[in-house]
Amino acid sequence: MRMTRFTLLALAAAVVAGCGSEPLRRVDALTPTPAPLEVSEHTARQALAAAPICCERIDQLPYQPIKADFSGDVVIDTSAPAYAFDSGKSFFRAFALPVDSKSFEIRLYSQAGDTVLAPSAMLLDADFRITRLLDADDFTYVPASGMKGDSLDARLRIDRLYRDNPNNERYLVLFTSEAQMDGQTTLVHPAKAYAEALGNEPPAVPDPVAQHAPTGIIKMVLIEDRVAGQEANTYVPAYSTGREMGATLPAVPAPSVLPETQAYYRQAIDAALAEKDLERALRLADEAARVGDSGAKAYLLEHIQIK
Amino acid sequence: MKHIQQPTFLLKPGYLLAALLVSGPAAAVDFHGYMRSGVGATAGGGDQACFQVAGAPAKYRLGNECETYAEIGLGQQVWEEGEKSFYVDTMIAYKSTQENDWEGSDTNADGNYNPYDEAGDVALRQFHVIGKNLIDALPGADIWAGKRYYKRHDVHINDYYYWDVSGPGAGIEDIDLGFAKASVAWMRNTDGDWVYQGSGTGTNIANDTLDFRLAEIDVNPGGKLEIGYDYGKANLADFQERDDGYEDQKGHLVTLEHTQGNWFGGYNKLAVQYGTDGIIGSSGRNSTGNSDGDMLRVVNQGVVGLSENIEMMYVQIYEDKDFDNESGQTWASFGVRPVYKWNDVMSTAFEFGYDYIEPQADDQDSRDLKKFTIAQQWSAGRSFWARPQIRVFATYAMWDGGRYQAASQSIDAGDDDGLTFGVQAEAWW
Repeated sequence: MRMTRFTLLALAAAVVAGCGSEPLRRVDALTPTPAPLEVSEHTARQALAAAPICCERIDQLPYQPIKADFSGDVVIDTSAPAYAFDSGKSFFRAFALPVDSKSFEIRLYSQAGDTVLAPSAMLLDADFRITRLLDADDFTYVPASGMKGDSLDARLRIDRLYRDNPNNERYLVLFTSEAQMDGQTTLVHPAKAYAEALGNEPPAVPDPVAQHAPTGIIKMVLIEDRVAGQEANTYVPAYSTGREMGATLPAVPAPSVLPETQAYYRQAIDAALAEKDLERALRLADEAARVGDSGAKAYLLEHIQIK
Repeated sequence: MKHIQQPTFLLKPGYLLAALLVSGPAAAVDFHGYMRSGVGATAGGGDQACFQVAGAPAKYRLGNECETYAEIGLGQQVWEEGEKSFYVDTMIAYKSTQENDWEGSDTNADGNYNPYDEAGDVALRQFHVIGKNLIDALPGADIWAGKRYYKRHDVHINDYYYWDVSGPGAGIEDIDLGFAKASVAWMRNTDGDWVYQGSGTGTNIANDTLDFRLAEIDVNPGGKLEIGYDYGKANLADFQERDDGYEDQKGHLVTLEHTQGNWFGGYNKLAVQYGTDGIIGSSGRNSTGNSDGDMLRVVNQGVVGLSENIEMMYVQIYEDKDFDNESGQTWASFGVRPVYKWNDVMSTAFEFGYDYIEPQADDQDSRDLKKFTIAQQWSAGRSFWARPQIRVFATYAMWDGGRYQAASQSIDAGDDDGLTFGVQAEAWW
């Protein structure tokens, strides 16, 4: 009896946790967001100028893997790594997105207080090529509502309809641009938000302004599709060449050449040169290159005697 | 989608499609709302009592609200073409006495029921359409029609609406005059308790209010002025006109309101109102049953940041209603609610409220009420306005018990003080 009750309780808890919380994630007003980062703009700018560049290439960034049920705060503070993006040096956080999930939505809320990080979101495919770059046009100010604070918000959808599609977006980088750091966002005064929620006339008071800063805190929520039709399946295009939509085949390293083969081609080139059959020598060098002896052509050039 | 490192990728169909999948947060249904609810008790036993001085239009609300009240508002922009757009807004309000689980608005036919199961009310409060920028000659102006909360002005800590002509109506708002924004509206309210004086059957008396406002006039740095004029009168049917025994009433209300921003880390709002005859006694709506007379009302309120961790709201109200038939009164009110923030989510609030009523008739005694509340609060954020909020409170009120009963329940007539405690949640979004 006791056991049954416990099982029922556990079941109920699982139902509440599993199903109950999922739809709530879709309501922005019910998304609790953290307090905005309290780093003075001046300190943050100095720290950014002094921060070492972490990596030379975009594929070297420290990508942190996240799961399809991720919901958490991305803290881009002065201890975050820095990278020289094309849009300017910036602190960043980089993520490896879930691969074996259904398609999902990413919601980003960059928290605004005295300062706000005006985010850029860069998406990269499996080969670290940029697929999308979201910036000021895509992040819009949404006033505080319910559990959600004042924030610059964006939503983006990541397609996983075909799991093995080489074009699937695999990586997400959150950072800011030099141009954005000079801007500012006008927030809605909380007394006005109260008035609007109740249908009252908002007091005619000036609104607070959040200066754009190099640091900030972004609430990130992933919402995986639940619809059955979004079941991931395998991407096998008919008559695949592996090069659809700009995808490239993975580079296969050439097999190494046996020393005997190498010796044979060099002897044959020597023989052809001795007979002054230059055309034959060239064909042999090409053939050697095709079987993987890249040195054969150099060998030939060294041994040609120009008269 | 600017500044792409390798922009040629965007030209490929797959990437274009992916780019189109970016969806902004706009275009969704706007979900606005308000709620307060909780549970409380009175020291010495019984349900939570709430304290209000007899005849006062408001009471200080912290730890002094005994009902569940909720508003659910859903709105959406349904059409847009260039600068022109249509917005549909709706709101339904719910109120119950907070006594039971099931609090419906129905009345059971059988006699065997719990009366507290039907202590709920549902009200249609807003259903209107706003057409934005539709008139080319008035850029930025909106035309609207339907039931609406119309530019209501309130005091938060005692839930007092001093300028509120909400109801069914229509109008044009936010006409840009350069120095001010002008709004004109025609609003309706109806006296329910009118009694037909002569022969025949009674019917409702429709009151009209014509509301004119000039808002956002710059007067000083950080300061704005709003000027309002309301004219209210009964709109009588022929047979009502013919009823010699019935005298309708009309009235005028002038409102001047100055809002000062950048005021000790907050703002201050000072409103002065002068009204006559039919419009006295309400917040701008006409009342046909009134005696002649006049009214002066001053409402001064604000929220200030006293330090990094202390925010305070304050209000002073003086209202003098002078009726020819001696039924008026003077109401003076003063309240403060300082809040000390321990951290981003927890704060302690203290509220003191004082109300004083001096009836105009010489043979009636004056009466007053003092209320003290202390509350430990947890809220989503630090601001005075941060909600949702859960508060654990204790409230003590004292009044002149020999003259009237200030408590809503649970306290014996003749007692002159009361102590209550409870837990309440409040949210708006």
